[in-house]
Amino acid sequence: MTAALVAVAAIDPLTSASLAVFAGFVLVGAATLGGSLYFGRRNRRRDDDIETLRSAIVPLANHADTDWESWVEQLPDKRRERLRPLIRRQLPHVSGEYRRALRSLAITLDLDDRARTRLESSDERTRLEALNWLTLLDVPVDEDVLFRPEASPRERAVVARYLYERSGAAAAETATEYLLADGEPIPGYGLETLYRFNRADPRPLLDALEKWVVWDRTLTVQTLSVLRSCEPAAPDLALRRLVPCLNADAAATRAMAIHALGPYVGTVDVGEHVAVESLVSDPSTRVRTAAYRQFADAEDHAVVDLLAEAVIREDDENCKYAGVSYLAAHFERRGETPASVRQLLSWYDQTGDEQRFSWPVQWDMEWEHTEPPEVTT
Amino acid sequence: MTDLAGAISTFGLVVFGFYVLISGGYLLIHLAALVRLRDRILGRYWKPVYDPLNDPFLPGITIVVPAYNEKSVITSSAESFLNVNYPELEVVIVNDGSTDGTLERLREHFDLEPVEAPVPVEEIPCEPVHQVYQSATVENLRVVDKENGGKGDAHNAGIWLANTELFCITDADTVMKPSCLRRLIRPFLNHPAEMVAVGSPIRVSNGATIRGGLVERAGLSDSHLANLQKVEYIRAFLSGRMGLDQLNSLLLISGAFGLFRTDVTREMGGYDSDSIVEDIEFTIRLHKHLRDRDRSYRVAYEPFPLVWTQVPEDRRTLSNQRRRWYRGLVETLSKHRDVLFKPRYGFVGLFGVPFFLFAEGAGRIVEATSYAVVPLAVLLGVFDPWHALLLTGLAMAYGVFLTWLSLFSEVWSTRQYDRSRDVAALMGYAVVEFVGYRQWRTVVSMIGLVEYLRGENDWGAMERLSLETEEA
Repeated sequence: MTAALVAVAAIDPLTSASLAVFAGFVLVGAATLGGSLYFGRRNRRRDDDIETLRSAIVPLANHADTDWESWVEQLPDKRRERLRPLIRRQLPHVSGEYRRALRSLAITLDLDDRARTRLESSDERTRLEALNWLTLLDVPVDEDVLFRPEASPRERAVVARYLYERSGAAAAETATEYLLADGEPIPGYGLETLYRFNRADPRPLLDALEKWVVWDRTLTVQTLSVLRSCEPAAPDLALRRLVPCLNADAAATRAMAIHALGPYVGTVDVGEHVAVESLVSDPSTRVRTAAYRQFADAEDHAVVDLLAEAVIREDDENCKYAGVSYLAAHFERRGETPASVRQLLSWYDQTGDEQRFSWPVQWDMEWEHTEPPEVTT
Repeated sequence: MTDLAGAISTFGLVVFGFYVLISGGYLLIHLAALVRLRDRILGRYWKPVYDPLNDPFLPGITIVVPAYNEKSVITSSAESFLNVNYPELEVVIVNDGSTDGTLERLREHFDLEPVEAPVPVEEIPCEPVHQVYQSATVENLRVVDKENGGKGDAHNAGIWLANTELFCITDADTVMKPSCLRRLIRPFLNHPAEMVAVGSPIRVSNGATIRGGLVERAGLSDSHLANLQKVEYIRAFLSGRMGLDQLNSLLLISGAFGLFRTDVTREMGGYDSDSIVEDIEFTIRLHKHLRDRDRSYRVAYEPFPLVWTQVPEDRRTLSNQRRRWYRGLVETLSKHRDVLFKPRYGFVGLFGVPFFLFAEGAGRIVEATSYAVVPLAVLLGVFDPWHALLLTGLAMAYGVFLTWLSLFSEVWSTRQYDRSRDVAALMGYAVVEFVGYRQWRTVVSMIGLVEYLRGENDWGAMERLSLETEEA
């Protein structure tokens, strides 16, 4: 081969270049057309096989005593190979008897053992997919294989998900600690898992927040955004952990810490524990708006009056508008409105009546969103 | 005569060296794209056990749609945007001073009501806003009516009124897959702190079967011009952008579909209202903005096509478009020439921008000049006719080879064209591209260059075809 190449190169540079391009031309052309024919046929056959298998599995799944082993044995090899991708595609989206049947089928195919073995791979993608299988099949795994100190945020998130599906809230402390251990931002699916673990009782998350000063800023904001959506628990612990975050350098952190205090506003004396005056004087509109929003529900009228005075002084019109909208509801419940606030409310009413809608606050709310929808299990 | 022959000979050597360098660059990009595709195809089969539709922390997205004289397509495309399956989604259509009744069509179809509240944002970098409308029937649809200011200007109006962490820009004639945003959000979920922008390939919708706002099947158009552009788009998006992304040199997230962080965009001052190629100008400026501030960031490119767009089917409109693209490219490269070869801008400065300047910018000029000089050289006896023919054929064959490589990527990965006869036809168009179409395009680019030097700056018009496939 080498001799042939040398011979060709020796002919004439232009001719050899022409031959090289021509060869590449022919090769790529053949690969493209051939590939199109091959992949087309392969994909059609694959789709047909998968549909045939799926149709066969559905009636079998309704019988608790289906002999999956015998059924698999009578399948041709090619069809048997299709079962793994079929099960992988379907398992995340099904429930009940059909899910149980798919799990049994997967175990018959030794997919659980395969996943356990692949969990020890040095390739992260292989480990991640193994973890997915272990999660879907609800397979027990040794902890020393599961937890790796050098795991990436992505892998930690997938491990946490496995723990949630296996053990639910019982694993909250372990999973929360593992997810946040390296102080790096966690991927979106990890955030959702963190919320699932802590939504009813955020104590593990509050405990972990103690280390926020050494975390990446984004992780702190992520953690606070989850706390914001959790049920309030252990107000003393919450105040101990959240109030220091109000002094963070980053406006995003300060704002999200205020939001995280929101669930506790009805149960603690905000005025005693939080320097509301300094928050409503914060240079960031994001922080001021967060304060108007969360503290407008405070039981302490002195706090709300402080907010009202701040809104009256407010320079930023968007912030002002948002502040008034939050305060309007409070004063309506209260039944008595100070004169200065009446003027403010009148300005608010004049900006539009039925067609008023919430103008976007000039960029500010990172991860600002309305009440979280119920996360289904 | 000897001096002329000498000059032509020198020119020929320079062009040859230039061509070899640029060809090597294109090959590098194509191969880098194949590596990326291979990684993505393998990675494709890894998804977390996670349903994003159930995630309360999924960042909200506002789809911003600039619309100028889009009466024929605007309601069907708006329906397609509203059908996108994403939990927290808003659609803001910006009527950019249309004169064909676009706004009236929207008002009628979506029962728009004017919002009485004054526009609270005084410093939106765009032409004056007349009115904002809210749909009475579709809660997450707003329409902004403003003075005409161009695409970048219209983007800014939508972006400044967005209330979500991310915004997605698109064109009014774009057809989106319902799952497109759930796919495009993935890089943001994987890298929540650093990701600032994500793009994906755009496919040509001409000839595709579209029903109910969904592309049922890709296919070839009756228009040869459209099919030639299909080949161009596959090469540009599947190889060009993918390869540049793999080389950390992605310069362009298309204005037809891209997802961006709202806060970073506003911090940058939004799009350049004066630019006629606002997407490439914005992407380069995004890199500069973040690198000048030493911020760690990522820009990503999702390989699987998620949207479809129309291309011109007549030469006049196509010529307008390509002249504008070339003018805009020259203008943008000139504006951001301070990035060239500067290590502080990473591979964008060291490879991406220089490559665009030489290959896409100067390369067209060199090519156009060659069309005149080579025949002259043959006539003067400076260049052997056989060698001239061979070199020309070689250059064309190499171009076809690279295009077929892109088609191979398409067959291997995304398989939008699943019929072998369509693939064979596209391979045929790849050959035809280099015999006539490319030369025409080069001449058109040179006209664009002359227009740039004369300071011309208009957008030109495009006639929209209906998005839906008519029943037979």
